[in-house]
Amino acid sequence: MRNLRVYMKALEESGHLKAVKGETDSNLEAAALTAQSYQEVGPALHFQNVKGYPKGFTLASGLFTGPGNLFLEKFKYWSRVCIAMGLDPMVTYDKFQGFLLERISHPIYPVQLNTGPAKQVIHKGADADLNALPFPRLHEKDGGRYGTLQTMIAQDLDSDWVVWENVRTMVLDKNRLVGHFPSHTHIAEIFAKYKAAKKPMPFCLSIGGPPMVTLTSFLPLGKGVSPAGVAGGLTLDPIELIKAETNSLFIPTEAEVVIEGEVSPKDTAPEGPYPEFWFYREAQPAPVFHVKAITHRKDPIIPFSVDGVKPSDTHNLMSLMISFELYNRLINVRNFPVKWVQMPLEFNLNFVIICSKPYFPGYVAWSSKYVLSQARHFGALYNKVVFVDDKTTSLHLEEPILFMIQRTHPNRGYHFWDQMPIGPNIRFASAEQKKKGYVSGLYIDTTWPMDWTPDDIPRRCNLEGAYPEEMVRKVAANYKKFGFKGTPVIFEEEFVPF
Amino acid sequence: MDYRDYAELLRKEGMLIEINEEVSWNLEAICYTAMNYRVENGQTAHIFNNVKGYKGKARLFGSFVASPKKAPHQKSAMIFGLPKDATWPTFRDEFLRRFDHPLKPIVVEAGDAVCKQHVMMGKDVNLFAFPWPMIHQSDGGRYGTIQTHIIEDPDTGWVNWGNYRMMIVSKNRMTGLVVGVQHGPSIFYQKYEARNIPAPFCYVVGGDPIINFAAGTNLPAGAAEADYAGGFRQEPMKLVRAETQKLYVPADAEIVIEGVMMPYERLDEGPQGEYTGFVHGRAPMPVYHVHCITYRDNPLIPYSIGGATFSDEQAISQSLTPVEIYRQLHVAGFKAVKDVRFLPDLLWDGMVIATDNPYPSYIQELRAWMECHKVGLWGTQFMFVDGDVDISGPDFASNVYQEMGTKADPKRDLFRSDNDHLCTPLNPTMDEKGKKTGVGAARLLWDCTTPYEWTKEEIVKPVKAADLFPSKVLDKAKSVYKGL
Repeated sequence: MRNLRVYMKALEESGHLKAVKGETDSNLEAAALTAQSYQEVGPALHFQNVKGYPKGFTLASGLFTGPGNLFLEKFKYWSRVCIAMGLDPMVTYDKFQGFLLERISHPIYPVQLNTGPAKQVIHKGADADLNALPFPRLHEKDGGRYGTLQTMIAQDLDSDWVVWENVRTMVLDKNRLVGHFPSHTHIAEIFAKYKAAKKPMPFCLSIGGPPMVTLTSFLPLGKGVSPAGVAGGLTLDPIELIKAETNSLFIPTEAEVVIEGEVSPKDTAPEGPYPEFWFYREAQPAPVFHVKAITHRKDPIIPFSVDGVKPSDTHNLMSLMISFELYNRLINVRNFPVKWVQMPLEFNLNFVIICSKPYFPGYVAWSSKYVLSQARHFGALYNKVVFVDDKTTSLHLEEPILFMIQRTHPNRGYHFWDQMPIGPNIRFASAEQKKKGYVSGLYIDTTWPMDWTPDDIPRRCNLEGAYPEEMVRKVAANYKKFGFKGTPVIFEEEFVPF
Repeated sequence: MDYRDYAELLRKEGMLIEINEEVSWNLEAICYTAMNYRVENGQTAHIFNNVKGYKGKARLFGSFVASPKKAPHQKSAMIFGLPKDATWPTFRDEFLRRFDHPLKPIVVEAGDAVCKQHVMMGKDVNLFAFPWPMIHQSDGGRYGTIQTHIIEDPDTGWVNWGNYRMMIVSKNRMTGLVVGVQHGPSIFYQKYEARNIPAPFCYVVGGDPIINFAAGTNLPAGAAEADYAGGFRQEPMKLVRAETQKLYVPADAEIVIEGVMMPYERLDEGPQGEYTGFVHGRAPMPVYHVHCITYRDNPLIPYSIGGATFSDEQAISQSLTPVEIYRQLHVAGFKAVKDVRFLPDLLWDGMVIATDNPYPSYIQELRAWMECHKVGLWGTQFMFVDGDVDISGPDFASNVYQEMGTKADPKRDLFRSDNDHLCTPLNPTMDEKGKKTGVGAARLLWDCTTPYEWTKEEIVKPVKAADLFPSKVLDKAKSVYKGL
């Protein structure tokens, strides 16, 4: 979709977005209402009347979130991203990952325009005032107002490689931001070069860009890959770019707000406190961003995510994009034709579930260990892997959990790994482990042992296993007519021939 | 309260529908219930009035106690006379209070017992007069699943009520799964068998639904479930003498099956789809010879579907067993235990204990206690979480998964037993040889509690929405959200 507005309209038409017309304070109120909507599996929200800001300056939240996968809700945690991609919101997860793979395999490179809505209002130099924009204060104990669902654009110091990555920033004052670069990101790597050369790093922050630009900024791309090309491929149309006002970077013409400036190689300021992964991270020194220009639409929409509450937009996108990149690497780097990979928010992104046919002896160990080996590239978020066979539905987390706990012999299926990097989302690292720099890992093989005979493998007796397929379909068709509530769900891959 | 009063209560709360379309007892009706379990965890109870071949003779009662996964005790609370939105701690505490006050039953005359409206005796006995459902397509036969088996200890006169399944073999014979350590059909029957005398039994369908809870509770040997049912109801159960046995049965039962189990006789039982989600095989089991059936007009037959994720038997177990374990743990001195729950869908396989960690080795003592408990016969894994983790509210399952992700270091906090546990025939983690040997299963503990020796600096607490916003802002958000 061309821009955020088209996407928000599509969400509204499919019942996924509601307008909040009453006056809302950007200080905590908008965030608290969003948290409420997250918890009740509610709609995305468009706050159309933000207290203290001019008419037309609005906030939006919940655009990329979803209900998790532990209960069968009305939609899936990938549904809203499907709408943004123009797909059926109820496609199964394996199909969703298949579509993503197909689209990122065919990048469409951007086009350059000379004008665009992102430049409708231009403030340069002393005119650029961050306080003129309704950045929300997200939680009571936060260090300041935050920008969350945004794309940071920066160029490598000694090549023409440009990265688009999601970075959160805290407003320090009218023309300074402070932002934290997690050590595994490309931005951190590039910034280290500028820092070593004692040069300021030019940056642009695209806020409310086309939905696929936001998606791309959560996708851990390989070195040298053009994010604009990937975003174009995902959109099925080139992203329209325009040169920034004060530096040579290019920004999406359809962005709502763009902040331009330089990241200082030496200035730091405390960033935080902030509830990063469902617990408070204390204020820590982080690089300071000096703002040189702000351009925006006449009526800018600032999207945001309320981290610390499940399932926030940020973490839902992390779950979708990191598990997709693992799926991509398993297939394209290792030639393991897996069916899907999930990283459920229910386990705080600490578990990766691989679904695949166990093609040959040792396949489970190879693919699980490959995933463990990649943890550092993804911020060491996970250290536990669950392997389920290809008869497992992607529509309900209950199934992998059932297999991991109920059908796996603890001494046969649980395999331990000595050392794994310490992620930011765990609370089990002791002081000693932190000093040493590692914790341990695990992969769980829930498949039937290869040496079992067909007699050893018990028959499944869930809905698909216990009833003939025609009967299940007939029951699904008559279900509402009989007076039952809710929508029947069939796990297609789990039918067992009788 | 009998099954009919209870159905009326459900109807008043808008939780019951009646289905008048013709459905077959052979899988079809059950398939609707299985779909109902999946779509809304069985929140809509349903009565099939028109079971093919049985219209006006008997009805099937689906999802009679199944409840939302977020509140698996919902219909149980209603059966206990509590409001349907009673919280888990309210239900647990009320259950424990009533548990301490059992009431002896009273006996009524046969003329006052509705369960004797119709009597089938001797040659007239026909189990096929009732629509016992075919529950899974791979089952060995039609099954009765929610009923109370009554048998007396020939030595002491102790009468045991237990929930055991039965498979219909012919018009007057049934067989049922018997597992070694269970009281009723196993230990007692073996006593009769050793003396080479028939064991009298009664199988009761219906009565006060609270009987299903008393029969499912893990009581000490010698305790009479009838007294506990009376205690739970806060009113004595009304019993009546069976027609052909000296056993007593609930006077308002829907169906009572009377007969004897003959010594040294076996018939193949199973296969049957079980709570593990897998089909359990066929094996020779004792035979029940039916001498008499008494029943009410158009009886209601409840049933549960093993393996269909969330089910009625899961709802009963998830309401009962955690409370029972909680009580026993406190009796055993584990006073730091704050709450006990089962993870949804896993029945006995995922037991969660929220506990403080008061002294070194406490966790391992608790683990040892759990591993040798009867519940450990079925359960494979335990999760221990910190005492301040909320496992009492509707998000208990999500909270436990969060702890498994972020509070368990695999090598330090996952404890596996040796392969020294009894392996029931139902255990899907073992191959056929292992199941026959009967040993080789193992247990796993996810210890997600904070290690005892940790300093304050090492402990990181997760945030809750309530910590993130001032309560005034939260309250406003809630009211604005409602008005959207």
